[in-house]
Amino acid sequence: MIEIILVMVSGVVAGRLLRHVKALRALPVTTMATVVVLLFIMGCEIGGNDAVMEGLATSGVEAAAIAAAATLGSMVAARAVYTLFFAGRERTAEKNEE
Amino acid sequence: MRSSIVIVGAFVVGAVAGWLGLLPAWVAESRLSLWVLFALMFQVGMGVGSDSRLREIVRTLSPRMLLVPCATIAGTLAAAAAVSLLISRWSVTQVLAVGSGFGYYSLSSILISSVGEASMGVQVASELATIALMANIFREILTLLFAPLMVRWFSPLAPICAGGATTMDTTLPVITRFSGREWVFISIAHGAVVDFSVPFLVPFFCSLY
Repeated sequence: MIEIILVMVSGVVAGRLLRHVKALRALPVTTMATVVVLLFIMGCEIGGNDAVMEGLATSGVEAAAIAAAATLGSMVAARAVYTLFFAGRERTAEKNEE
Repeated sequence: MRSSIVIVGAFVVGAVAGWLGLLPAWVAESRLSLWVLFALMFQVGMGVGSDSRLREIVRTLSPRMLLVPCATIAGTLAAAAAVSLLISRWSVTQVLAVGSGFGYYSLSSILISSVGEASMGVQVASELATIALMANIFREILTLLFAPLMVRWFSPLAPICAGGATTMDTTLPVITRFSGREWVFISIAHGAVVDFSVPFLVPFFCSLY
């Protein structure tokens, strides 16, 4: 876990130092290519795993439940933060503009 | 959208190749995926470090703006913990690992399959990574489809929090359209903060298993 974070932080530092280097413009393309390679490898590992493939339908239902809950939970929290910290200030700003 | 299709396509082609046994055994046995993961994390870091908006994002991060990614993270984790009570097959921390992908499906599934392997074993980590891939794709799709209703029922901040790590790129156009232009900057800063939390939170919850 710590290695992953260290690699990422060293990437941030390298990116900051090399931000004017033109070659970095290719970064979205190379990042995408790396993601594609990784997901291909992950797909191979999962496809070759019979137990995972057999349980794919169950996994899909569980994934849908987690996605729905996570989305709903974040929206409820969004509403609370909006009501407590943003809505009042927006009204004040509107009044000041009037 | 095209990049999402390419990513999912790579996974499906890989899964078919693996299922048909077309791949040499050394690919699965080697630590190739871990090294490619390091290469990816370095590039993700470089992308953040070299982003011309970085200074502006950091400069404008006020405590009030930071409440938005905090709401996303807290709301997601609380709801994921709650739904884990209904899913008997997985522990709370495993469901939290899936939830803390925040829509970043490529990275969260890769992290679970690589990091989770050590704590859960290959079998369980592969299964959980598949769930993370699907759950986080669903989250992005839900945000893209239901952004107008989210604004109406839960406030203009709702699509931003629902979009999670995707609000600085893929879901930004719908947020701009339905929440309003005044939320664009909060949406980008929110996406950057939540994006950055994924490599911390996913391995953390995997290690708790």
